[in-house]
Amino acid sequence: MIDQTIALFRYQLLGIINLRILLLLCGLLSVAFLGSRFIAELAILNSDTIALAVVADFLRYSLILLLIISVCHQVSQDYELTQFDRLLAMPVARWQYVLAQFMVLLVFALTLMLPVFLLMLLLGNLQLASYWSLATLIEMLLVGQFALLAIISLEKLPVAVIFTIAIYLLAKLTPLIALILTQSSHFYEEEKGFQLAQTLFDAIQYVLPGFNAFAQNDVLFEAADKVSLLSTQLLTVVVYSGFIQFVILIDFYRKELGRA
Amino acid sequence: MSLRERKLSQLPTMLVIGLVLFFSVQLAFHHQNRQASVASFSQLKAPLDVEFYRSISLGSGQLMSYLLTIGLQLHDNQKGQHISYSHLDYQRLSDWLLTLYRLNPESEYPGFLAARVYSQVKSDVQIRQMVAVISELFRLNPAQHWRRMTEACLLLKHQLNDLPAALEVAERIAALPGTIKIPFWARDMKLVLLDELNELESAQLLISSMLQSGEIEDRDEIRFLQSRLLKIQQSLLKSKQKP
Repeated sequence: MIDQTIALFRYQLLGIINLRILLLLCGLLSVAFLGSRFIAELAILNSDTIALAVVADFLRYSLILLLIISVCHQVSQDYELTQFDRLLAMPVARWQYVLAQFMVLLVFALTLMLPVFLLMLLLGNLQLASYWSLATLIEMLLVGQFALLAIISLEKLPVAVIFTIAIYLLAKLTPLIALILTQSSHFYEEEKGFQLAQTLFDAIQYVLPGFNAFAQNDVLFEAADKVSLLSTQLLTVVVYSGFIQFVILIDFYRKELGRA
Repeated sequence: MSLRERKLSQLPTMLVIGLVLFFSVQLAFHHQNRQASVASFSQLKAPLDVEFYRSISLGSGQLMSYLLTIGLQLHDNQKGQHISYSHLDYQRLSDWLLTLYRLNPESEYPGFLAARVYSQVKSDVQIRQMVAVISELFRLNPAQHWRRMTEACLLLKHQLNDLPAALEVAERIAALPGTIKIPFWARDMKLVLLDELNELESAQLLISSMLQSGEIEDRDEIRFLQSRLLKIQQSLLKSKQKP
């Protein structure tokens, strides 16, 4: 059973890591490096730290976008090319497919993070490079699982990509929504529609990952306990991953594959 | 083979008139364009609420504060032209600097810009506005901003010739409780102000003391102050060499 999963993982991995991705990665790293030097020239104070933080956030968002598109594209190909029909004909369980996809996600995220670590090491120091690479890796695993859930459920590439980005942004922009609701509460406190929106927002926050599930860019500017931050982030993501994985499995097992 | 040139007087009159005419038009056109570009300079917009910037930063609050600071710093460069700081709306500028500080209270950047960049104008009102920003920052966190206050003392004494106001600021620094560690020279700013030093000598004394005290950790600021000190020393040397 393990051999089958590993064989499936190796097969899926070949479909996601290719020369195009590596070239794109090189391009992104070059843009990040040049952009950081430009920012460093503009800043009068703290220029190196600001440049490092710009590189960190630029790579985080661009690589997460790349990861979402790659993961969704790969699974959507399995749907389009009726790959699932062939898989179901083999003695492979559906959970093995999900596990293989998670392993692919892990290896792909590690591949993306290695050059990020090297660039951060070049521009900063070992401690910051290690923190940022690990924290972004954990964040990527979280968002990658969202992407997996989206593409397995929705089956279409554009819809799944937009859905994943929307969920990611929603999780990141909760302070903005909270601010809008707080500022509006003076005017609409009595209205039922507003109260409903507020209740809905409170409920949504329970099923979204909190801020401690993401890499903290502020850490690059201040002396913080990075190990403690990473531990909290890892724990949050592990708990959340369990929840997502079960949603994926339930959704995948409910699908009538190969009978369309 | 060489070609001999004709004299200008031998050229057709219409050519010379044409040249003069188009050259004049070019000068007038450029002059008008320059005035128009200063007039079309887009003024600073009022900053929004600190919480708004924090909430749209996607968790990168400090980076957002620095990027906004760089954006503010670049505001005087528009359409490829550098516009004098005096054209900026200093009330809005003050609001921006205080907002940026509230967004990232660890940052030295807003105080630095107020003391060393935006105070380099001729208008007394604008310099006073920057001193007010520094005073406010000092009120919010004296341990972090006492250095900017010492610079404000010199601005008041030498740029505005307002010794009483400078002494008042120096007294505020001296009145800091002993729990806030500041060097002796900063507590004794009054003596520096009352001493018969000119602007360059005072600045030299202040910058040398800052650099020697080891209080400044930012490499960029050390570089900035070292180059400033070098310029001051060169100016002092030139003024001494003059008969």
